[in-house]
Amino acid sequence: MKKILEIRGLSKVHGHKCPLCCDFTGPKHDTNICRHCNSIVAIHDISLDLYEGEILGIMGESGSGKSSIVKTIFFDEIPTDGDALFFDNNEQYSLFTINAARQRWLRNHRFGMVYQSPHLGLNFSISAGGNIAERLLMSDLFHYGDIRKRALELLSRTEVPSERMDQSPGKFSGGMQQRVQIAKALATRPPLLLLDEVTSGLDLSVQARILDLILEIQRDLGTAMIVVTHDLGVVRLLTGRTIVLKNGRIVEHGLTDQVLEDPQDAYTQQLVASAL
Amino acid sequence: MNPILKVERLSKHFLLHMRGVRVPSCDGVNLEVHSGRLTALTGPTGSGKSSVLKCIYRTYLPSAGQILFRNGNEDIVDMASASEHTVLELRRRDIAFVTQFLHCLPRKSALDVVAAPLYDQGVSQKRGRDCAAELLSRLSVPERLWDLPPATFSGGEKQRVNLARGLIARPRLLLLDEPTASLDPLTSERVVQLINHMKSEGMAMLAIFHHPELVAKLADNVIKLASPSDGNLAPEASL
Amino acid sequence: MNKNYLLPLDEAAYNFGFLDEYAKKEIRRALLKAISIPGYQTPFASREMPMGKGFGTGGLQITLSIIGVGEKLKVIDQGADDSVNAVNLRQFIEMTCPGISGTEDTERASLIQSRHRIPETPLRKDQVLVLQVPYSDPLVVVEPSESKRKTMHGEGDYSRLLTKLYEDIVKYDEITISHRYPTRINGHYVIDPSPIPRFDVPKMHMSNALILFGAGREKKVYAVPPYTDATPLAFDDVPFRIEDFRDENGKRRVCRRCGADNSFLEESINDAAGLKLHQCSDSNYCNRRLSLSGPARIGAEEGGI
Repeated sequence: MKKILEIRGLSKVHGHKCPLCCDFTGPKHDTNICRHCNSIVAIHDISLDLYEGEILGIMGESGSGKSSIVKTIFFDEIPTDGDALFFDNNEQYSLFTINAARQRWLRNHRFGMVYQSPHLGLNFSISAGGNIAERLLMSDLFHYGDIRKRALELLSRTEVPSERMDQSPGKFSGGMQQRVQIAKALATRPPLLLLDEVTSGLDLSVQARILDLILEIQRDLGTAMIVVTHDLGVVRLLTGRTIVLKNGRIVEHGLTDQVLEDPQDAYTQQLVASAL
Repeated sequence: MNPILKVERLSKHFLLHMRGVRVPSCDGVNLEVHSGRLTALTGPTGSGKSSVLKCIYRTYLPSAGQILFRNGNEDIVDMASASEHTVLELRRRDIAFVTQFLHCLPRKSALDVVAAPLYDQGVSQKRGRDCAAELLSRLSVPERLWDLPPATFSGGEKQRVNLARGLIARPRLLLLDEPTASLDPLTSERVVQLINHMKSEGMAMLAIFHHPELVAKLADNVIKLASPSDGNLAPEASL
Repeated sequence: MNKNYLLPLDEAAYNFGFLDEYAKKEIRRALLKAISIPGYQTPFASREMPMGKGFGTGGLQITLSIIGVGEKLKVIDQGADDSVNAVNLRQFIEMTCPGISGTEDTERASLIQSRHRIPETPLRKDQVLVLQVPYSDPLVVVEPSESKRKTMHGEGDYSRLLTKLYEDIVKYDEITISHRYPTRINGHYVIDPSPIPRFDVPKMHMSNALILFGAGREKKVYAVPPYTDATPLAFDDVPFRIEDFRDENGKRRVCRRCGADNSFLEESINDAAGLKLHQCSDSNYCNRRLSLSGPARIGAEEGGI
């Protein structure tokens, strides 16, 4: 198996950042606000590997820094420290040192992101098909007929009825908005897909449909994914490996079934025990 | 003949941080599993039979000991310390685990649930479903259920779906945790036949059976686990 | 404005061309940069002019900084030389630039300042066309942040603009942009070619004349140098089209005055009969044709003049 992403020592601090930030925050202190300088340590010293075609889970409660990890990978946030290597075909990109244009290119062509809120991932002022067309038009496809065909393919893969293609996603249900987001993220056939709480706030049957879709995509396209969630059920059903985050630190990582059935860390044990 | 699996001095205990206790599960287990043979684990309730299987599958992290698995290239992998990706790869190709419970996605048909391990290996849906249909009929799961999601099935039906899923990719080592617990005698007999058939094809198995007569019927050798020592719960501080 | 009134330049201490020489120099430097980077919106220090912004101050500042003695100037607004705005601008320039002469004749003019049209008569390489621009950035419709727009221009990322065209075709089966049609210059920057109709867009492609664009309020100048590629944005299978001037029978409408069947036509309604009338928008072109051949007969059946 080939490695696709390698992250080492990733940190993100909001605020002034003082030399004591790291010592005063973390699971031991049960906070991520430095009591010395009031900076917020969103994540600290995160290292992880992702291999081709695998789904990695990032689990933790609200405010544990889960989203910050995927947001820095997707260049939505600038990390304070750390390195990330992305391996793509025969190329290798050091995500945080390449120039902004290169970053945007990767973001537009090689990464896909599905946000918790469809507002962040979709443009509601244009149609569902237009949202997908926009991503296709970034990658030098200038044939209207081909663009429509491809958008239709993607929407039918994500089970959005073709007759709704030309409507604004603002008129769609929450579940369908997420499916349009997934279709959009997949438009450029990215080898890496980032999913940030995509099923939160949806009812159970809709959740199941989206989880099913995600697994199908992994199986058919071999897309590597990072799934951020606070839902143990989602982690169990989707991921092979999981890391558990608390106060911006990794407290445990392992095979998903092992983390859920034989958690080693006190916090993970508490998290698993308190699940419904 | 070299065993496909050799477990040496395996121990497992749980540290429950919230309550500050250590719960022993199994201690000093030694066993061997050979291709084409079934090793049965027996012992009283609480002697850690399931824990041994879960340690081998790495659902549990062993506390001590070695779990030496011989992979397809004749290399020895210690499941107790192998990297996460090595374990995942072995699970995809070589080792399957049939538990008492079925975890699967809602909405998936029984056929697709059973064929999932084949899909993971890149087999087409058509072929996967054909294989799944064959196995389900051999386990006498009624055909009218094949296209339904197993979530609605009875306990016995679920168990057979689970077993079919474990067998379908022909793993080199199969771990069975009470695969016939809720089956009637007739269906149980079908399962026995199928297990015997797989054994004759060279599959190695390590199993826990609910009924002693199944052990007698299927096992080539038996490992008996001792009942756990008294004073189960030792305070964490005394470790 | 009194045409005979001569501004006492010396007494008022106004410089030739109203702007002081430093200001003109700054604008010319910006223009040189704009010409060197075709389609690039070059910032310049737009001056206060004795008229409101939005009345063509951008174009006027370009004209005043490049005009010289002996120049023959033509100013048009929507194709007409005699509309109020065009007349005022021309008089202002004539007043502040002694030694130049005004003209309505496209062929005689050496410098043409225009709003909303490129003249019908093909331009020559010794002519310069200055267009007045209200909005300089074609991306403003899809991205409100200027710094993000600059990045998009720099990387040639016009996907969101193309998405707008896509949406147009979805809704109306065609691209409905009637003017300010986004056009890619020299294979990179996409410009807003000021509110010229689609009909005029192909005239920029490989133009003989230098075309300069000035946006006074937006403080930007940009250029389409002579013999430069200008390609309107479109899809491979939905090509750019100019306005369709065919009537319900599929026949190309002609100008009711001069009978031209190759010019951009303006439509007006005859109040009395409620009939639609069509005539050339380029008044100089129409008049010249009339003077050469006499009035057209076609006008009569459409309701007459």
